[in-house]
Amino acid sequence: MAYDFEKYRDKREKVLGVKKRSISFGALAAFVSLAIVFGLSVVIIPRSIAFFQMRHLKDVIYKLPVESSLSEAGLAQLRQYEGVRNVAVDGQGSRIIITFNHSEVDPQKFSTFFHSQGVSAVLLNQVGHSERMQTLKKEAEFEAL
Amino acid sequence: MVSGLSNECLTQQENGMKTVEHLIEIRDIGKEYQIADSKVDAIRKMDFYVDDGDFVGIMGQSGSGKSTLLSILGGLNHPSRGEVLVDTLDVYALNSEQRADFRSEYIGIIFQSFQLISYLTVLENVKMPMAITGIAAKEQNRMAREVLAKVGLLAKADRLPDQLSGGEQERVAIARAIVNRPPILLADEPTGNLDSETADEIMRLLQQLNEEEGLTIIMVTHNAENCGYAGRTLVVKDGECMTH
Repeated sequence: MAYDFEKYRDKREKVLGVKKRSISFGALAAFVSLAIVFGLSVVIIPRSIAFFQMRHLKDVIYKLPVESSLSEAGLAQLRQYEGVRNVAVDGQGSRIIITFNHSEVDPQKFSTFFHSQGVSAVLLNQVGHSERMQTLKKEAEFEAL
Repeated sequence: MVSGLSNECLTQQENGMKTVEHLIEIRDIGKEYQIADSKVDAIRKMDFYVDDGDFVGIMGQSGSGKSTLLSILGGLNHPSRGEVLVDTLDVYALNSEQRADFRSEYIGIIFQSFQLISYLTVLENVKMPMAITGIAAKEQNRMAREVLAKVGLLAKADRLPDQLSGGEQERVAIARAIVNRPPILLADEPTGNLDSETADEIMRLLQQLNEEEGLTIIMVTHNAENCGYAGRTLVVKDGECMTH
């Protein structure tokens, strides 16, 4: 039979690499690498962003005496302080949690503020904001059990 | 512009392939082995061609170089000199990865000792060459069953090789060699371990594959009767091709 150059073109192209047999090793390696990088970035990037957003934030927790409480106006005034991100009062109205940027505001100012309002608040604790969030999350998980 | 060459030839040359007139061209190959301090010429000089669809028998005594020739044709044994051209491809100018692809795409090999894997079923043995081809499992099953039907062993697809006769094992080896639909089948003493009746059956099967499927077969044998099935016979003696 006379030689036919076209008859086995498909096979020849596979051998010479003109036509790929299937996904190449390089492409497969790149795909797996991208999948790993993407997976890690989904976990790491949000945590990194959260860390950078919260690294200057701290929480101070004040206990208010039973007979006194801080008025809404007082709370609003506290929220206006430069560096204060949030002011929260617990369900019983006995504790105030102030979240603030410790590089912008000295927490001593809060004690001064309470004193000026005639409220004898007692500083119970001062912790990092993210640390307190973690504690609250663990407590919630524990209670859910 | 090279005068006298067709456009097809020029395309082949531009792509780094060789211009050929036959499916397989063996050009002045030689093979030397170094044994201790002496050199042994397994193949002194061979120069022949095989056309697409040919059934070629290679006859010769033990040690004449016919098995070495077959391994060179199969891309398994680098010749010391010369060129092996298959479908314009200079087999030994290909890199190792391309040569592995060449073997997978172009060559099926059957051996005298069958070389079946004893703990795999007939079907699994036949599917072995497709393991690295990326063909889907379902398609592999279909192709393997189709080729087993062709060699008359579909009913025994789930048996182990030990549960088959010698002739049946050789049929499995043939099925395995052609399952990837290679255009070239190399057979190294395919009937060497079989009685004469079974050997005739196997030879008729090879002849049928050659005539009906257009498979190019190159068969090494020292049995002159087997060469009766081949369309052409080359006689190898002392590392040289005596008859062409």
